[in-house]
Amino acid sequence: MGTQPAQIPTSFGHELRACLRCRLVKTYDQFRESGCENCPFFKMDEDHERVVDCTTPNFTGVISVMDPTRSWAARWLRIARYVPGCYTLAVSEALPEDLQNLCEDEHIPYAPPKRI
Amino acid sequence: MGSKRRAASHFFELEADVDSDEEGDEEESEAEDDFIEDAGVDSDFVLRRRQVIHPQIGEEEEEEDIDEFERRIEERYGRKSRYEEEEEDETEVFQQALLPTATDSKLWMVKCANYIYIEADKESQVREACKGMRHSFLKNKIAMVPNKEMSAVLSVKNRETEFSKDSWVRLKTGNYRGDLAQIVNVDDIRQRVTVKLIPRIDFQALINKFEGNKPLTVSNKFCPPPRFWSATKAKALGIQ
Ligand SMILES: [Zn+2]
Repeated sequence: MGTQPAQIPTSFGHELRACLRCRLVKTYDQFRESGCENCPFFKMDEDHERVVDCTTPNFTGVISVMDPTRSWAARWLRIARYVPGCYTLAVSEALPEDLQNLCEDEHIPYAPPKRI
Repeated sequence: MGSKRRAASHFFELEADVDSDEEGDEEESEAEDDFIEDAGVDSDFVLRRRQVIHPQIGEEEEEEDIDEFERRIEERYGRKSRYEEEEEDETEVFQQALLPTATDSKLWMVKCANYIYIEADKESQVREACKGMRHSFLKNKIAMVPNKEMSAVLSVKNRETEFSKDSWVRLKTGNYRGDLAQIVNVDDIRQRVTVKLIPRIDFQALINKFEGNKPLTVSNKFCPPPRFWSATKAKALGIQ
């Protein structure tokens, strides 16, 4: 495998956002400049509007995963197959419908947040 | 929980109870006040305060470890593809199957200003991982989280409806600290909410201001009682 880790957030201020599909946490600028390491098909680095659509500033809890394949926490949170990086425990919003469709077209799994 | 409107949460407590005096209000440090009190999350897992870190252990073993991991997954779920489909399988039963087993690494709770949780096999690895962190955790207590409590550490309550219009909140700072308020508007973009509450107007301060008197000094800490606006009273005091 030898997966390249995702960028580490350059700050932990209000500019932090989480990807609505994989829950990777980075700053807005990092998503804008390099996209999401797990979700390159969103092409956030090509279309900056996409960053706003695909990520959210509303999330709870951050977990830093160094070795997702071995981490129980990563498995429990279902991020075991993503690259090492900082993730949020949960987002409450779902991906916009057109982007859900995009995932479907690309045969990319997407699980919307569970309603409680 | 998505912690909707994080910015606003600096100022409000959710789930406003009629009973004031939340536990820990006095004892907990000031810093704690910046964060929403969410009694529902027993780990009190708060963004930017708690982080779970998985220390890198013996990188040279990586290849073997992946094989081992796959073998365990296969063993547990019968077939390899089961794991491959994990993201599509959202059933509660499947989630239960992900609960930690005896062979998984442990979660360790490290007490510092708050708590951080670290996943590792041994306590010595936790100490190693904490080395060089800004606060010295080394003299602090490290406790192993019991297996059956591990999932609770990572669970967060869905706060989808947080800060919805018409819901009640309790303010956390300023003159209105502890007061109940009702949300009248939520601005998602600016992450602000507008609330309605019973005003605490310092009439004397207003009069002083209007008459160009010296403003009250900071040391003169008077918190006016909450009262509905009374035109009669204001008029009596000469405020139009
Ligand atoms: Zn992503």
